[in-house]
Amino acid sequence: MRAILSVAATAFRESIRNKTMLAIVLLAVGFIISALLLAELALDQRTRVILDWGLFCVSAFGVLLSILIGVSQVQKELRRKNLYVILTKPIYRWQYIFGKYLGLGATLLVELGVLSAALIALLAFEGIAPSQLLFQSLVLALLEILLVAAMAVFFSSFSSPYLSGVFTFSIFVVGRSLPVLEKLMDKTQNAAAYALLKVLVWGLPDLSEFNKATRVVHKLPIGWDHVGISAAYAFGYSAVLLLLSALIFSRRDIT
Amino acid sequence: MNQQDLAIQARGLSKKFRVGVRLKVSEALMGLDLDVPRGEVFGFLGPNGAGKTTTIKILVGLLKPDSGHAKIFGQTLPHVHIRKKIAYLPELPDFYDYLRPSEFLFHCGRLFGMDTPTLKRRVPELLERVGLDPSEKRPMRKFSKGMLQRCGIAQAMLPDPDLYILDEPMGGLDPLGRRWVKDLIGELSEAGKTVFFSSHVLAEAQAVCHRVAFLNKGKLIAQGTTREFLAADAGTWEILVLGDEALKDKEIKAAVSSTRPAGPDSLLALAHDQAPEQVLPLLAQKGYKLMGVERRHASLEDVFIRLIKNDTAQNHTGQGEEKKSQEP
Ligand SMILES: Nc1ncnc2c1ncn2[C@@H]1O[C@H](COP(=O)(O)OP(=O)(O)OP(=O)(O)O)[C@@H](O)[C@H]1O
Ligand SMILES: [Mg+2]
Repeated sequence: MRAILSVAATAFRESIRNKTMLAIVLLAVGFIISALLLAELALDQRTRVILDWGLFCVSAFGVLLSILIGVSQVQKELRRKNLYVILTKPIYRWQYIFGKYLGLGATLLVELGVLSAALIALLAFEGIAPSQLLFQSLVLALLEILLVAAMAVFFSSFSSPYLSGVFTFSIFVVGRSLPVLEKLMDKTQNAAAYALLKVLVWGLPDLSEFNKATRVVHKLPIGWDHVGISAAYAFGYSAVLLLLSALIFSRRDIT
Repeated sequence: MNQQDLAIQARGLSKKFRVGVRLKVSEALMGLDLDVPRGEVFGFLGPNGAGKTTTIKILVGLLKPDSGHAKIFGQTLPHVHIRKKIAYLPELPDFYDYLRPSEFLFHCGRLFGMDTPTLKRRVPELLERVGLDPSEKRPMRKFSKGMLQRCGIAQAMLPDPDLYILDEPMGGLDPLGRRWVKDLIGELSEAGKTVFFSSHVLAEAQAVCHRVAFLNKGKLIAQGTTREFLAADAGTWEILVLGDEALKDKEIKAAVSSTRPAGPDSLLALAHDQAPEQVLPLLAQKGYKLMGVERRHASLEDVFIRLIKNDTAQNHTGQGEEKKSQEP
């Protein structure tokens, strides 16, 4: 356990001090604040625009950070032989993978916290009190980001950072539009296409349920049960991905 | 040799890599046998691409051999618990970007299973020992190659292990640094540790190694004690001749093994089995002025170059008979 925590703490330090990531976080805060500009254009729907744009920025930059940090975590260490030193210590490789993911999760939690704080401050500036609805949708965004991070770790346990990034991003996009695929599946006549879609719908993570910005904007309630089920789904899916990563990583040659 | 007395024992290690889109096979190691006795300093020598790093990565469990096996202190790899007893330094290491050396050492120490009070004592002590400032605040990405190498050595020494496996410990270091590593290996040896290291710095290896092995193209070509190798090699003669005319003299070039300029003068190196008497008459006859005749003692470098050249030549002409680890 101490080994896992040490790997996590080191990964956290290393990515929270990363200047590039800091720049992206600052950029994201800038984007969130730019909601004020957009709000000026939409005179009558000020609050709606700020909420909509703000939540979009938090989620989009969160996913971006999660993919960037996630795919670079393992690969960066590998390239510079840091990993050689770490994996030859008396630890198992699965401990390394889980530690990395914990550190990654902590980093993303802090970074998402900063973005959420920026959004809430902006709303306060506009005289809007943060609602439970907003809080719930931010929690859902965090869960989605953690799931995407697990995917990034999974791909980088066996492929290059560039490919891992592409894979993770594609799955994110498809995962977000899984309901569309489901509709397509119902309409399709082609058996092969049907089978392919079926596999995709069955195997890929359904990310559409994590994105509830429209409900916040329209003040439609999100149930806590929905948040709970989504959390269980995200953690379950991530756990399977991490187990697979650990399995692959334990067997592979470190070159 | 008794199994108990061996720190490292490898039998028939082979490793192939598949490279490129067409997955061409490159054989990095072919049936390597190694015996490293406990408490000795063992130099693992060979030209670039010989397979030294590949061997070391198999020994520390980063790579799985295609065939053969390795044992460390009698236990088969990769055994997690045996790793507490192994210090490993990769070649040309480069560590975290944003961590300070002390944070890095704490991390490594925790992975070794060391507790915080021990680390609080040991980390500054070790940083000092490898010549780094224990209160260094700069992140490691701002470090020079030599400083990283020192960090790498410090992390390896943390738990005071019994076996040191070092891949080019003198790589990236200046002459002072190389001397320092040589002295450090000497100290470790004095403390009864086993040190197995690869190196291209043969003069330093000659000074510290009890035993050396020569590797070429994935095969062991010779293994034995440093003393045996040096004794078997009687050394060669060198003749210093005034002026540089001798360098262009075809007759003289043919008579000796090699020639090279030595400042404004010429240095003629004789072949292994050549005595100066065989060449001196020719020099006198052609009117060259002698400046000195000297016997150069055998060095590991000479042994290395001769062995590798012979091995490569044999392979080239296809005369390579059964090449086992021939004792000198
Ligand atoms: N990951 C890899 N993929 C493909 N080929 C490899 C890989 N690692 C090593 N090789 C090949 O294996 C052979 C041995 O390489 P190795 O790094 O073990 O040599 P070395 O003796 O350490 O050389 P050097 O003195 O230059 O460090 C080389 O031909 C190299 O190209
Ligand atoms: Mg090497």
